[in-house]
Amino acid sequence: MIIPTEYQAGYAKAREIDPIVADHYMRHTMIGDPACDAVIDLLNTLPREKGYGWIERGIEDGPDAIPDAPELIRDFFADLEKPPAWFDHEATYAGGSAFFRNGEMFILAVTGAIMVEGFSTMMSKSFSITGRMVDGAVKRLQQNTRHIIEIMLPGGLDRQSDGWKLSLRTRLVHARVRNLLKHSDEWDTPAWGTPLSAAHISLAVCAFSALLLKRVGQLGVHLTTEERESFVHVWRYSGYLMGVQPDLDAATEADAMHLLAIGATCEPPPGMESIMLANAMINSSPLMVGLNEPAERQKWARWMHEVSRSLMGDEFADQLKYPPSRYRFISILTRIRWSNQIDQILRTMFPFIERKRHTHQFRRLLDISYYSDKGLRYTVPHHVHSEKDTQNEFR
Amino acid sequence: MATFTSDFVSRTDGTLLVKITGRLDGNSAPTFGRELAPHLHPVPAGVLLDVSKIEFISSAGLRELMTLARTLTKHKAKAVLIGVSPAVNEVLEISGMNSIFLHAANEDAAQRLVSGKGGFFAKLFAGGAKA
Repeated sequence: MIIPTEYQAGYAKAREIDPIVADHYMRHTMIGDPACDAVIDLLNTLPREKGYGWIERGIEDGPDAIPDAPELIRDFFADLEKPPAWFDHEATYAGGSAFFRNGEMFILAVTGAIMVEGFSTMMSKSFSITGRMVDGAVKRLQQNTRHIIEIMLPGGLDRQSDGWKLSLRTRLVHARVRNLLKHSDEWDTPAWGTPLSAAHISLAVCAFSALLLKRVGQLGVHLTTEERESFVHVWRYSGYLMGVQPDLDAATEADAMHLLAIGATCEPPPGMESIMLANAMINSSPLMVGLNEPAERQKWARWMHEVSRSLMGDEFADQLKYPPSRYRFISILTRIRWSNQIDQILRTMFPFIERKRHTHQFRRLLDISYYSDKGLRYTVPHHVHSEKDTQNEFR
Repeated sequence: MATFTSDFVSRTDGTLLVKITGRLDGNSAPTFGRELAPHLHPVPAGVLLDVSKIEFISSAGLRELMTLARTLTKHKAKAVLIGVSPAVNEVLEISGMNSIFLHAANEDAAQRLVSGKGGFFAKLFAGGAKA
């Protein structure tokens, strides 16, 4: 097995904890997404309009809609038409319901922790080289919010639904970026492994499922066992559509947390790219919620840094060069938890507050998620550097 | 898969009847929004939205419904959903959007709700007193 040089120290430590999972993780740092990568390789040999036309129709209507496409492309879509045997449609509702009831806290945890932690791996190199996170941090946060909303809606992961299509579009975008980076002089495979590797895709899915549950728990949102299992189940299927490889498919919350722990041990400590991306995301969050005035933005970003530090811990926050905490006596998490508890008591006492709040939560989610009046599109890059990508609509 | 269609009828009582069919999703919702916009100038007395033939609503569709509700609320007009299917109701319920629309089983019942005729029992028998 080839071990990228940057991973060697972490891998040795991870093997002491769980050699089997550590081996799986490391092997997947050298793998991308074989099925989707082959499609992108083939598309690179075809006229763009024709190739991406097949992809667009394939996403919308499946392999039967593209009888003239090469077998490789048709097979790629055919394999995804039916969900895997373990997917239980009925088991998706509870997780979605919990998410929509607590939308603001989930998005706070995504912005303040999940995105930052997810990108504090070697994955940050990919986004740093392409410039896609720093240039488009707001859009990226909004796209992630939209993705979560769509997959969490009842029926959102049905074949014709937007959650299903967005999961697959994300996979194709990742494969295209991987392809561009692999052929770029700036990518150092022997040191860093494969760009947007299978290991990182799995780690990201685990972060958005199990780790997110942990983080919203820190904010005082407590879900039932059924809701937690359902939430992880929804993400597991979305991850399957995004190309998570079988050896790194975490079926339960515990499996996902274990994989995250091993993955985090294998990964090198956060470097300059992680520091840059983490702070870009935190500083972009005021724009995501519609704050444009410099003073308001600064105040919000300071608050987000506090929340982020409290969620992830001082050691990690210091590694990411966060400003020091200003809360000496009562931490910000305690304040948020108290606020959520008071809110919970009021909602239990006065059901009309719950109804109003529920609608408000969803309205906020819609306000901070990405929409295009051109329909359901995601950017498929033409150039490795985002600033040189002029024609970046999917079609 | 049914193609999305929308049909707009301005009624003599100043209300607007909107019939939509198919999937109100990321692909169709922007078109629906564009087609609906001219019918909201001036804002009608109420909007009867027949969703009985809608198979699925994604967040993009909910966004259009939310925009419609906001516009109508600003002008003290009401929106009534007609013939909400169990699948669509599940989406409205989970998103909390059920509470911003009145519900009716058919056009006549929706008309009564918009015109404000009948009290609690009229709402109850119209198909659901959600508002």
